[in-house]
Amino acid sequence: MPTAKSLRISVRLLILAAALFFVIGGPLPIWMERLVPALSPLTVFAESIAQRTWYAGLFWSIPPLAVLLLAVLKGRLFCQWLCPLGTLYSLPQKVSLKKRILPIRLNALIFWIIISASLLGLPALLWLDPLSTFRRAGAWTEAAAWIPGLLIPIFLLLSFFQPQVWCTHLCPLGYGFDLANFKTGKAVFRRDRRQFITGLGLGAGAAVILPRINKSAPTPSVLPPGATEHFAETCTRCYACVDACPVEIIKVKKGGPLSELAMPELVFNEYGCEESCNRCSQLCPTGAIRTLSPDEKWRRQVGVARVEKEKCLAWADNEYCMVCDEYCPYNAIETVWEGGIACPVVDPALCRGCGACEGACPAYRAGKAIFVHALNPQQKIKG
Amino acid sequence: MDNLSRRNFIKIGTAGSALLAAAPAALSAASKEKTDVWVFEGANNRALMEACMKTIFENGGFGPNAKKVALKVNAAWDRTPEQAANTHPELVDVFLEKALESGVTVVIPELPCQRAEKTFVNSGLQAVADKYKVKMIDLKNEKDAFVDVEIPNGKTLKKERIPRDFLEADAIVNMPIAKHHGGGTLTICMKNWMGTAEGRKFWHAKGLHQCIADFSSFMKPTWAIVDATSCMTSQGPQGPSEDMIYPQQVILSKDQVAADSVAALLFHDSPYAVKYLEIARDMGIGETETVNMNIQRIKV
Repeated sequence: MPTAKSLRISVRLLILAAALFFVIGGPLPIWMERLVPALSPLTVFAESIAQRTWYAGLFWSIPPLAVLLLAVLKGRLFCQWLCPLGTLYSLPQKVSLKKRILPIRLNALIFWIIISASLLGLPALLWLDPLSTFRRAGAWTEAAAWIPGLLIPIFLLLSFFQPQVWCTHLCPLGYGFDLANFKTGKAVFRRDRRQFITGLGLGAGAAVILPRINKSAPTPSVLPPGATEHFAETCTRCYACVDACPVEIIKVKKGGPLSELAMPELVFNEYGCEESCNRCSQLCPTGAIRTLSPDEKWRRQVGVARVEKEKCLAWADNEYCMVCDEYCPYNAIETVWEGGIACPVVDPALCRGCGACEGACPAYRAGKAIFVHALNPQQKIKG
Repeated sequence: MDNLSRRNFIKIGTAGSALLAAAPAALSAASKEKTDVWVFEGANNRALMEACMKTIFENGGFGPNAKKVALKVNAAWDRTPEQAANTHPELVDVFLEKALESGVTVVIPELPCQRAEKTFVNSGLQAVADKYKVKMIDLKNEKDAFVDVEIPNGKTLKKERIPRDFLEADAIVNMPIAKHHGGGTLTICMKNWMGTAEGRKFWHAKGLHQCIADFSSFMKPTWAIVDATSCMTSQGPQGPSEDMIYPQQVILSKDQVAADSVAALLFHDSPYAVKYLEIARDMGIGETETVNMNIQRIKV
């Protein structure tokens, strides 16, 4: 049936193109930016288990539940028709050498590690979710994003040797579909019960050990407004927030402890977090950043700025400056008069840690003279 | 070539003002010519600006054969018109209406402090510009727009990069809102030019007030129009401020220093509470003494 096949190829390529556009076409409407990673029922279930709350809200529960329902009825139909990463990996199929470089399937193991670790509150390996992986491609300009981002070129390359080795042998989401299918589920579970038991054990171990490696809790990184206390562990590094930030202050962290590897953080080179923006909180598909209303965002305190007087143009050089005061949208900079010169002092009760001051500070000696210090867990400003 | 001739024109102009600088007191005493300043006062912003534009056209408009006007408003902040951090859109609306009617084209270049997508839109100024199909240029995203200029009379600031639009224009109009400013004490016309200077970030380290005065010795508008309808007297330049005053005035002059000095008196007892006005007096950039001005107060 050549027509059915060519129809499928056309649909897949079309979806791949659309998904690519959603991922790298930004800035786009929030639903477009969020849709690809938010389609994964594995992400939404594992995260909800780990965070002990169904964070997705009514609207954003529909796409992953629809995908799950599809799996219950039709198994891997999503993989064969819709998954953009699957389509990408299937592109070299015709020229693939069809060697068996990975003889055993590890998808069940990965799936059960994720579930078991999530039960203990840390969705380890969830960053392997193919839709989070595909979304990551949007942040290719960020050097550190290539740490988890290398998955895509590696498995694309491996597909030249073993066709779709990722999809058939490793993908935890695909395995979840096999398991959810009402026809195959029982048999699949029985077949892989060894990996089920090993996965439970390894997942539990990972959830206990990982957070203790190079531990530096709370993290010194300033996190996007709405980030939970367990941001580093629950973020799947899909980088939807990195790409969606209109002022590009969400960057991929370089260095830090293992649990914070390549996680998004705020960096204030030029701009601060905009007073009237809550985009990142609206499009995080993992609940690592919770949805904030405009008012909640306005009250959210992600850090507190501190003036380093010895570097400050006003304090150290007696210059008329107060650029920090100028740029602060919350009137959190107080003026102290020193010999006729206005000098800045931060009011920590009003400062949100938005970084507008740090971004704009013109102190030349050390680059800047006012710095935001992270507040984790984040707080709410009263009044 | 257009560009060059404009540059030469400015050079000649600044050379002239250098002469003025040599003996400001002597000159102003010698010529009994007082600096004209018009202060329009009334509750209705539209009516205020209509009166202002009428006066502009009664006094030479934008100059003979003027075709291009570059307008410098303040659209730097993500704030609403009521919060008075940007030039009031109703005033700019009337300006554009009357200016375009006179046959000139207008561009509005601005180097905002926050993203133009926020500041141009929420200030209400983008809507006004769109209404008249006038281009607001977001200088943050048009790095190519800037050209090097020399500031012959600058004491500290001797070079700067400014948008080409101001050099190519036949007339430039400075139309800020008057408001409190943490580092500059007040921002009015002279301070408003900072929103055209690519290197403004370095001014604070060099001496902010001297740089403002230096730059204003170069950027001389055909008309200075001050929006003093609603003004912040604290928490400026962005606000929001709890200390608002509502003078409901529009101040007009060909001399931006005179316009600033009159506007400064709405906030302070003396214009010299603002250091760059004191420097402007000493450098002879414009008139700061109200006794040397012909101030016409017009109720609208």
